[in-house]
Amino acid sequence: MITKVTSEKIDGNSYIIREGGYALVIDPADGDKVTKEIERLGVTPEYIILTHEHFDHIGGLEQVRETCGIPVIASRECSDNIQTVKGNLSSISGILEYFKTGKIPDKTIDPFVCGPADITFEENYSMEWRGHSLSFRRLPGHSRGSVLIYLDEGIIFTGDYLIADREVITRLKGGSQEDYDNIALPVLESIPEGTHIYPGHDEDYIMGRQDNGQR
Amino acid sequence: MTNLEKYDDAFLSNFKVSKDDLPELEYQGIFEWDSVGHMDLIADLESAFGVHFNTKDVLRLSSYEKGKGILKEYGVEI
Repeated sequence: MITKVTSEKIDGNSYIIREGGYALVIDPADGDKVTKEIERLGVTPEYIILTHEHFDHIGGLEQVRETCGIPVIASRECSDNIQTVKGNLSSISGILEYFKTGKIPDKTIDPFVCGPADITFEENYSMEWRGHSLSFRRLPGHSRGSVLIYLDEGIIFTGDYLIADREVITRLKGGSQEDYDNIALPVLESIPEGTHIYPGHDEDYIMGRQDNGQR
Repeated sequence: MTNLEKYDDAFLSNFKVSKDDLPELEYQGIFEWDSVGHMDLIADLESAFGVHFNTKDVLRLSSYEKGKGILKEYGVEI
């Protein structure tokens, strides 16, 4: 069972994957919201997994990590970048919000850094968890550390790829249009119809069953 | 590296311009200096000078010359 957690404070989807009283947390954006939801669901989280290093996906990382005492899994590039404000883009969160909404936000996120991930990988990683198969594939383009997280057959957590009706941003620091075109896009285009996509923003959807916007 | 060199480097590394173009450079005056280019520039300036601009100052930093004045307000002489 997958639960999405959203926040007014930080625009990024977090997901809690539950199985038999245990859970995985993907992209803890708002620590307060994620920890409250974990408590409400009554689950014991066992890992935090990151789709990529940007601040709107890791805002609650340290709070959840400390509260739950659990390890973080991320690509090595992601792990490197969450440790600097330039790498995680937290220093430009205010202006990013302005460009999205046209309004100067009343409150901005102070620049922050996180500690390194506990388990890192260069390109691919796989694991079994409570009867489920997870595999991670690094896909640079939006950011150096971006990964797809495959859960069993037919479910993918895509971070800032495959957000319906939103173009992939490749020009921010750490992004690369060349990597996106040559590495990420072929993989994204090969995702079969019927796959359930859980992106890092906005709504999840089934691939091929609606106009999903740009890959 | 002098402060001016660091300052110029932030613009030159983000935008396809020559050093001679810098004095006249303005936000949205060239293709690359759009909102995304602006965020990249800001990130580099903050990193180069160890400052964190508030959002209003980020928006005020709308030209190469204005940026010098704004950095002065943060204690950085260019």
